[in-house]
Formats: sequence, structure tokens, C-alpha cells
Amino acid sequence: MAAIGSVIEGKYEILKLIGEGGMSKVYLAMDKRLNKQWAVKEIEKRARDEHNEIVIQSAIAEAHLIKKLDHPSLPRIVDIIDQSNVIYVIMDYIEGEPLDRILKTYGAQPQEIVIEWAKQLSEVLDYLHTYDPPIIYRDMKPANVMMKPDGNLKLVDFGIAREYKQENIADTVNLGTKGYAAPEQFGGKGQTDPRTDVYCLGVTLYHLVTGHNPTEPPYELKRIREWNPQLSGGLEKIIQKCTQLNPEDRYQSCAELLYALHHYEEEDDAYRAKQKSKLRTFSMVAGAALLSLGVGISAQGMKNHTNNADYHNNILMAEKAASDQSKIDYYLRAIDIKPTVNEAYLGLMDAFKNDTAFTVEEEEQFKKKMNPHLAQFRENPDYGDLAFEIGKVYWYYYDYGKSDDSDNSITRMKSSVQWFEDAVTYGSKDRNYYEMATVYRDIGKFNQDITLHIEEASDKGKYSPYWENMKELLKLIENNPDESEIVKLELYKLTMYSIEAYARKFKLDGIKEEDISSVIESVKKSTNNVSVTTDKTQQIKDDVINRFGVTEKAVDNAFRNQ
Amino acid sequence: MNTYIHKEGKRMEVLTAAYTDIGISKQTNQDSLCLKVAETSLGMVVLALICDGMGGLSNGEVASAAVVNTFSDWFDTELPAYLAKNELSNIQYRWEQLIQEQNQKIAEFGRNNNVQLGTTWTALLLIDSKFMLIGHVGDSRVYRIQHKLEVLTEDQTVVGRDVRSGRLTPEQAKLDPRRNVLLQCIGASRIVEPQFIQGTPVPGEVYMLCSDGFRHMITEDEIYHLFSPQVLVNERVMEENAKALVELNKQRKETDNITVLLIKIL
Repeated sequence: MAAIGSVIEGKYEILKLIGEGGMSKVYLAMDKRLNKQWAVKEIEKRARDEHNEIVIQSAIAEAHLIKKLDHPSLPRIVDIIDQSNVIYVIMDYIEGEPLDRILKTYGAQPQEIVIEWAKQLSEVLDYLHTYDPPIIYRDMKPANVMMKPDGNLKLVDFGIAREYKQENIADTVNLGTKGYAAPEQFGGKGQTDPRTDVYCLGVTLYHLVTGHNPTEPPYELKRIREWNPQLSGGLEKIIQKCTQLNPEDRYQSCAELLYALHHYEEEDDAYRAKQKSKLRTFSMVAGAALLSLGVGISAQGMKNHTNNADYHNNILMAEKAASDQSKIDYYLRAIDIKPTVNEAYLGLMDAFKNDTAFTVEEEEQFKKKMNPHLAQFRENPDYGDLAFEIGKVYWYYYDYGKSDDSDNSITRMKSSVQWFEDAVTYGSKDRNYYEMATVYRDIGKFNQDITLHIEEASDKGKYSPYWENMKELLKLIENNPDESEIVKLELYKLTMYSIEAYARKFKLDGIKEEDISSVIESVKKSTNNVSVTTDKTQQIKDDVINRFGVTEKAVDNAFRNQ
Repeated sequence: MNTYIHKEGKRMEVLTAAYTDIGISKQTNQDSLCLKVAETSLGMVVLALICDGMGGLSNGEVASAAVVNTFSDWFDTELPAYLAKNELSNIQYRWEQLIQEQNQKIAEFGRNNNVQLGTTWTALLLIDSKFMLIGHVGDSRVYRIQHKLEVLTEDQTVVGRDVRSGRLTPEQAKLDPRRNVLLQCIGASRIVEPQFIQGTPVPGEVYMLCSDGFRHMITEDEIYHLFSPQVLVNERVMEENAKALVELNKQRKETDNITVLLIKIL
């Protein structure tokens, strides 16, 4: 044993004992020539391991092997001195603190730092594993890793005279003394290979990042996020994979592990979610690009119909426009491009009636566009649909001649008749609107002509079909749940006014009182059921309700008088 | 080997037997055992314990003997006070203290002598038919044998843990190279968390304590066949049968030290 103060080979002055193992001692020594500190490992030649076997030959062989290694995370061996009783291995003195002491003092280490350490350790282990011949470290644990003042790591207690001789299988050992060993390191019969170091490194990382020594209660490698949910799911997966019992299930090399460590965030759920959303964004951009390509191609294909894009563009702009006025402007522009296509007209009508009033000015705008093309338009099989819609807009929303004290219902009906007439004439019988258009037309016509007929006293017989049309329209509207409140209320109002005005005439045309009464009853009920959302419709509703009494009285009078 | 068999007073109520063997290959018997029976004001009191030491050369024996001595002394000097005050429920707390003290002392011995050593500890205390206490660290076992064979203690081993968590099947555990690796032991673990079991002894039951060397090579059926209460009619039979099973283990090439203790409550 080297005495403190003694000088080995006239060069290395022993300063103090810094470590002691079963078969060796480590001293701090001063190189007298270079004025530099070294670690000196002293191995007694007659040293025996715990099975009483002489270890010196393997120790010397290993020292000679290791001195050829050159890696920043490994201490260099600079000299091997063979003396009669002992061997001195001179190597780098590593200043710093071993990780086990850091763990003891500070507990769990920050994840980012542990990942950084893990990369350094995988790298140096990979260097050893790919060395010729390959070297398996076998004893990765925090106590064997030194953190230097610059934050980088060095693997210490390298190999020489380390005690990993075969175990007697019957010997009971304590987990704590086995440290971080892989299952195949027990019992001495398993083969150790790079995957053994992967296991030990996994356990080491577990301890570093959780602060929990796997050889102390609860004696198991839990998932790291059970200790600390803030930790990365990616790192958890890496540690889980490193510490599989079966070597086949681990990373097969430290290079593989290193790759995983460089991409650990990609294993995170959060990261995966982010990637998914990136993919979504990409898909959208790609989709948009494809769409543009498609649009480009179609535009190319329809050189002669360049207007198409413009038309659709205007329709699109109109649909998106916030104010009715700009909607109307866009639709008018679209109509300019294609004056005999329904779409823009339908949109225009919608925009017109949106404020529940189809004004004279609006009518003018519309007619200016429509009339020049009307003849041509009527050849379009879809024209019937449009005519029907226009008729309804006139019927319900046209506000010509409307004032606070005068209802313009006759005007509205008169104005709409030609459109319903068109719908019936140019439309097709199998379209939905056909029946309704017919009824509207006939009711409109009746109201349009009846005054004249009365004057000419030729009105007899006209009331009965009108009554039937009214009932028919009521039924049609009743059966359409989507019908707007204004349509319903206007119809109810018309019904009440008609009964009030023509009760006697209905009677003369042979219509029964019960028939009329039941219509009044059902209209009453329906009116009350209409929920109104605007002042205008509220007004109409109130009007209708106010009319019930008068109407019933009129019916009473008409039928009682006889 | 450290053996204390101590009987005094009436021995009518319990029958006991103990047998230990160095085994076929070891140079030392690192198992230590203690079996004490005393007639007290509360009735018959029995302390049985096994410590399986480990560590190179004679170190394991040092550790196991230290713990056995501690509890032997406790039985002689401290237990009477607990019995007198009838504070049976406080015994567990004291045992825990003793174990933590021993853990520190043995670890310190190891550091001072630059050796690694440690021991398991499995203790059974029976106080008449009033109170039963088991304290346990490591992989020795306490069995209760009545109509069937029942293991009361939990093996604090790596494979025991893996079997409990489902990582290994009991069959895989038998072949696993880590089957001798303890999760904790006294003297080599920074933290020791003993298992304690309290209960009430019932006449007719047989309690068996054994070191792990006793149970690897023989089956539960073989144990029950020779150790069932019907078979163990007197102490001579108990000792013969214990010896027979130890010999069976040796025939089957068990290399470890082998120790077994039997207590039958009449």
C-alpha cells in the first residue's frame, strides 16, 4: 500500500486516499514534473475477489485495453506501472461530483438536464460497444458517473478490477448492492451485451429524473409520470423500453437509444397532438392548393366562358355580404353576367324581402334586369321555380300602396297573379310548387276580378271555387312546417277578411255555416300558434286576432238572417 | 450457527422443534435461529425467529447473529414488562425500533470493515391464544399449517415482487437468475420497511418458520405431508420430520444453509 507522501516512479507523489474498493485503492497523486494531478489506482497483485480468485491478470489485461480508448466522457489511462507487489494505473483525476451524491443532496434532476446527460452517456456507451473488441460497461449507475464543473459527464470506475465474477447462484444478495443491474447480470449464467448497458442506463435515468432509488421502497420501476405527471411521456416511453426484462424488448443498441433521446418529444402526447394539428393545417393548405389547381384547370378549359368565374364570384360575394344592399349589388352584377339563370334572381328576391318589404324601388331594379330577358328566360325549364318565388314575394311583401291605414292586400295579390300564372304556364306539373302556384293564382285572380264581377252582377258561382281555394291553400301552408310566419299570418288575415267580406256570398253559393265556422276555428288556433319575431308580423297577428270577433259576427249575421 | 433453545415452566401447551444444517456446499452456516418458550402470567409465550445472513466469509453470520441476539435479549429483559402491563399492541412498535437500530449498526460495521453484509429477519411471537405477531424482512417464511399449508409472510425478493405485479409467473420465478436477490435486508438497505402481521393463535395449528434454503427443492405437498397437525403428535416426531425434509433438500442438491422451526399449539 502506497504511503501518503511517497513518490511512485520518482514522478507521482501520493497526496491522499480518495477511494477504496474490495481489491483496490484510489489515490490522488501529483505529477511532480508536469505539476498536474492524477488519480492512481493501486491493485495488489495477490488481491482476491470474494470467491477468492486472483484478479490481477484480468486487471492488467483490461488496463492495457482501456488505455487505448479515447473519448471525452472517459478518463484516460496515461500510465501502467507494474511493480513487484502492486500495479499502479495512472489516470485522469476527475474533478467534480458523482451523480449519486447530487441525487442525495438535490433529489430529482430537471428533465432537460437528464435528457442531456442521457445523450452523453448513450454516446459513450455506444463508443464502447462499437469498439474493437466491443466493451460492455456493465455497471452504469449514478455513483459511477461524475459531473464535472463544466456540467459534462465522465464515466469513472472504469472496468479495472471491477467485481463481476460469477456469482454463486445459492448466495442471497441484496438488491441495493446489485444497484442497477439487468436481469441477465444475475446468477452469472446470462450473457451480457450492449442491451445490458441499455437496461442499466434506463434505471439510472429513472433514478435521476424521479429522484427515487429503484432499490428502495417501493422497489419497482413505476412509470416516471406516476411520480411526477409533469415529466415527458416520451421520456417515460424511452425509460420503459430501456428497462424491459427481456433484452429483445429493449433498444438493441445505444445508437438506437440515442436516436430516441434526440426525438423524445415526438413521443409526447402533446407533441403528437401538435403534429396532428400541423398535419391538419397542411391538409387544408394542400386542399386549398388542389382547389385552386382545379379552379385553374376549369378556367383554362372554359376560355370562352370566362364569365363563369365572375358570376360565381359575385354570387359568392353576395352570399357573404353583410348588408342587404351589398347583397343586392352583387346579385345584380351576377344577373348582368347571366341574365337567364335563376340563382342570382332567387338571391336577389331573398335580399329584397329580407326587411319584410319589397319596395317599388326594388321592384324597378328587378324589372330592369328581368324584363329584357323574360321571353328568353321563359324557355328555361327552371323558370317556373323562379316565377313562383317572385309571385310569393309580391303576394306577401310588395309594399306599393301600403300605408298605416290601408292594407294593400289586393294590390299585392293582383301584382303576383302574373307570376303565379307564369309558374303554372312555364313550370312543370311535377314540381312541388305547381299546386300551390295554381291556388295562389286563382285566389289572386278572384280578388283581382271580383269587384268587377260584383259590379257586373256576374259574381254568382265564383265564391264557391274561391272558398275551396282558400281551404286548399290553408291546408298546403299548414302542411309545410317551414313556412315563414309572415306567409301564414298573411294567409290567415286574408281568410278572415274574405269570410267577413263574403260571408253572405259564400252562403249564397251553398257553403255551409259549419264549414266556415270550422275554418275560423282552425285559423284561430293556428294564428295563436304562430310565434312572431318582428314588429311587422306582430302587427299582422294582432290584426288577425282582432278580426276574429267581427268575422264570427259576420258569419252569424249572414246565416241567421235567413 | 447461533441457536438458542430455551424452555422453562410447563411445556404442556406447545410443542416445538428446530433443525438447521449448513447444507452441502457452504463453508459457514450463516442462518441463525432462536426459539424461546416461557410460562407467564398470561400463559405460554413463544418467540421463534430465523435470520439468514449474507456477505462474504463469516460476515453474514455476524449480521444474523447480531439480530438474533437482540431479540433474544428483548425476550428476556423487555417482554416481561409488556406482559405485566398487558401492552401487547405496543410490541410491534418496539420491534420496528429494534430493526431500524440493527440496520444502522450493521451498516456501520460494514462501512468500518469495508465489507458488505446483511441479514433477513423473520420472527414469530405467540402469547397464549391471545396474540400473535409476525415481523418480517427478506425471504424467510412463516407458514401456518392446519387444514392446509398457508404462507403468511411476503417474499421481499425481486422475483416475489415481479410475481405479485404479474411480470413473472411462479414457474418463471423458480428459474429466474434473480431469485436470490432481496429487495431489502437488515444492514444493507438504506431504508428497511418490515412486514408486520398480527393475529390470534388457534389451538391445533402448526406454525413453521424456515429459511429460503428449506423450500426451493421440496413441494408444498411434501411439507404438508410431514408437518400437518395430525402427523406432529410429539416433539420427537416433529424433530425427525424436520430432519427428514432437510435431508430431502440436500439430496436434491440444495446448496444453501437450511433451517426450519416448528411450533404446534395444543
